[in-house]
Amino acid sequence: MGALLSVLLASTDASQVMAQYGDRVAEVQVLGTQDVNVDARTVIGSGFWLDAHLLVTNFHVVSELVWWPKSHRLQVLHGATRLKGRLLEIDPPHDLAIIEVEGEAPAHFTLAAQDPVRGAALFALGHPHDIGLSIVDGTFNGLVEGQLEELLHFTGALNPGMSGGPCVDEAGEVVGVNVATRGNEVSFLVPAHWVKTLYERVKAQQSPPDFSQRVAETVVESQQTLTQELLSQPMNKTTLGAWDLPAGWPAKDLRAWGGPLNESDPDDLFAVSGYQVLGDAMTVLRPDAEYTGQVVLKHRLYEAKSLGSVQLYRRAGQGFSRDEHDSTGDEEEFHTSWSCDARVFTQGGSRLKSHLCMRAYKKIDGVYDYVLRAMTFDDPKATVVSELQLYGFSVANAEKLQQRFLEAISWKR
Amino acid sequence: MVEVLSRFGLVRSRHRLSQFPATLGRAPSCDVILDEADVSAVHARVVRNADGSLTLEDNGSANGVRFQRRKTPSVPLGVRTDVRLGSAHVRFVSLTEPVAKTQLFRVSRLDRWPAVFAGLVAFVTSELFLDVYLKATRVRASEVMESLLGLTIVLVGGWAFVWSLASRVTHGRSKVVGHLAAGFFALAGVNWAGVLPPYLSSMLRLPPMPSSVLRAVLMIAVLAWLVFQNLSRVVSWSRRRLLVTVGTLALIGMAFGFTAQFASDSRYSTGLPLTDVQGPPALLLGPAPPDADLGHRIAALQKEVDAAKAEH
Repeated sequence: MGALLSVLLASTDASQVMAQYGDRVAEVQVLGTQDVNVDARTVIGSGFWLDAHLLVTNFHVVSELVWWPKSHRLQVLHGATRLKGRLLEIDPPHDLAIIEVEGEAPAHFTLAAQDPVRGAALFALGHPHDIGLSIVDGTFNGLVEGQLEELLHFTGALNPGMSGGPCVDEAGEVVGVNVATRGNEVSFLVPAHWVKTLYERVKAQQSPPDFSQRVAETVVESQQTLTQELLSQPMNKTTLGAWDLPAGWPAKDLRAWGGPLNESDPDDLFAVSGYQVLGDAMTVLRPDAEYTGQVVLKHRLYEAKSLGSVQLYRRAGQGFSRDEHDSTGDEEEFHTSWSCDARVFTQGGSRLKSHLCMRAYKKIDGVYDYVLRAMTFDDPKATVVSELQLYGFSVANAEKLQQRFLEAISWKR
Repeated sequence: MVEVLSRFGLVRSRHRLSQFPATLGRAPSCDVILDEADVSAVHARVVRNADGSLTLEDNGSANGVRFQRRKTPSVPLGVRTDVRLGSAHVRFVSLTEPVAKTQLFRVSRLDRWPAVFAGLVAFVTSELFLDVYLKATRVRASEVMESLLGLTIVLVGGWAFVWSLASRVTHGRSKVVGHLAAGFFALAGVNWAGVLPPYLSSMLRLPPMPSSVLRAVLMIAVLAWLVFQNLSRVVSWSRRRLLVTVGTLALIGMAFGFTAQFASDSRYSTGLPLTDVQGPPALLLGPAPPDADLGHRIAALQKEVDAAKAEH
C-alpha cells in the first residue's frame, strides 16, 4: 500500500518530471545578424530531442531563418552549452520544424502512440521569456473545438518562449508540442502524430529542401485538404432579416456568433445586427505579424428606423469598397497590395453589388488572399452586407468557396 | 456662286460672281480672296464661254487647280463643282438651279449640328479621361499625390485637346489656350472645393452635413463653370441659352453624383473628395447580369497582383 502510494505520488510530481526529462529540452534561438536591409528580429523558443541529433521545435520559432536566411543564424542553448544547429525540415501548417544539432544529446524523448484520456495530467516544458527552463503542469482536454486545424487543448499556462517545447504525460512520452495560448490557462498543443510524420520525412530525405518552396507546398496542400472538406456538404444557413445567408460549413464546427451590434448610431436612425464565423486555422508565417489559412465569414444587417433608402445604403456601404480587411499584414515584405473590382448581379432573387479584393504573397507561390463583399439592394428599409475572407487559398479553390458562399444568399420577399 | 469651304467641308464664306472673267486668289484685288499660304496671288480665273457656260482656268499658279483629285488646266463648271486651289477647297454652285435652295438649307443645318455633336464628343471623351484617371488613382492617396502632376497634365491636356478640336470644327480656330486655362482652373477649383469645406468645418467645429453639401455644391459650380467656359468657346449661342444649357447639365450632374455616391461604386473611390459628386450614373440604374462572374474577375485580379509580385 505504501509502495503504491509512493508510486502514485512520484508519477504526478512535476519535480520528478523536471529532474528526469529537463535535460532533453533546449532553448532555440534565431538571432538576427546585422543587416541594414532587413528588419532582423531575434526569436527565442524551445525544442526537444527526438533522437540523439534531431531537435523538434515550432516553425514560427525558426520562420525568420526561412524568410531571411542570410541575416539570421540558428543557435541551440542546452544548459550553458551553445550548440550549432541546422534547419532540416519544416511543416508550417502544423507549425513544426526539425533541427539537426551538433554533438550527441544525452537522452531524448519518445512520442506517445495515442492521445491521453481527458483530464489526464500533462507537463509542459520550455524556456518562458528566456529566463530558464521551467515546467507547467496542467490537464489534457481533448481536441480544440471550433477550429479549422487539429490542435490539442491543454489547460495550463504556456508562456512565450515555451513554443516548441514538449508537453509530456506522466510516462514522459510527448503528447504534443507547445504552440499557442489564449491566456487564462487555455493553451494549445500540436498533436504528436504530426511530429511523427515530419520526423519520418526527415529520416527519408537526402538533404534539406528549399524552404520557401516547402512553405508553398505545405500551404497549398493544407488549403487543398481544407477546401475539399468545406465543399463536401452544402453550407449551413442562417436567417438575418429577410435574407437567408450562409452560416458556416457542416464539416467544421467553427466558432460562430450572432446578435445585435453596438455599431448602431447614437441618433438611433438605424439598427445593426451581425453574424460571424471565424476559422482561425492560422499558419503562422512570422510570429505576431503574418498568418495565413484563416477563413472569416461575416454578415451585417442594417435596418432603417427613420432613414431613407439612399441614406441607409450609404451608411451600410461606408467602408464597403475601402480596402479595410481583418488581416493587415506587411505589404512591404509579405504581400502585394490589394487589387479590387466591383460588379452588380442578381442571385437568389436578390440584387447584389459585390466587391472582390485579392492580393498575392510575395514569398509564397500558388496561394492568395481574398475578400469578397456583397451588399443587397432589395429592400429600401434594410440591407445586408456579407463578407467572406479567405487567406492562403488557390485561385480554383477560392472561386469554388466564393461561389458556394454567394449561392447561399437569397432574399425572401 | 462660289462657296469657300473649311477643312471639314463646312461653308466658311459665299461669294456671288457677277462679272466675268472673275479672279480667285490670295491677292486683295481678286474677286474671291482665298487666305491660304499655298494659293497664288491670282490663282485661277472663271471665264464665260460663248454658250453662256462657265469654265475655271488655271492662271499659271504654283500649286495648280485640282478637280477630282487630278491637276487640270481648266474645269468646266456644272451645277455643283468642287475644286481645290492649292489647299483651298472651293465649290462652284450654279444659281440658276432650283436645288440650290434646299442645298443651302442642308448646309445651314449642317453648320449647326457639328456644334452639338462636337460638344457631345467632348463630354464623353472627357468623361472617359476622368474614368481612366479615377481608375488609375484608385489604389491609395499617397500614390495619387505622387502622380498628381502627370495626371494633371494628361487630364487637362486631354480635356483641352478635345474641346479645341470642337472649337476648330465650329469656328475653324482651336482656342487651345482658353480651353487649357479653363481645364486647369477647373481642376484646381475641384480640388479646392473638395478640401476647403471639410477643413473649414473642422476648424469651426461645424457638423459634417453642411460641409458635405457645401462641398458638393461648390464642386458642381466649378464643373458647371468649366463646361460654360468651354462651351462658350465652341458654340455661338446667346448667353441666356448657354446658361440654361449649363444649368441643366449641372442639375443632371448633381443627380448623377448623388446616385453614384450612394451606390458608392468602388471604382470611383479614390480617397479624393472629387469622387463624391463626380461619377457615371449609379450602377443600380443599369441591368444586373445573373452571375457574379467570379472566374473572370479572379483571373483578372490574379494577373494584376502577379504583376505587382513580379515587380517586387
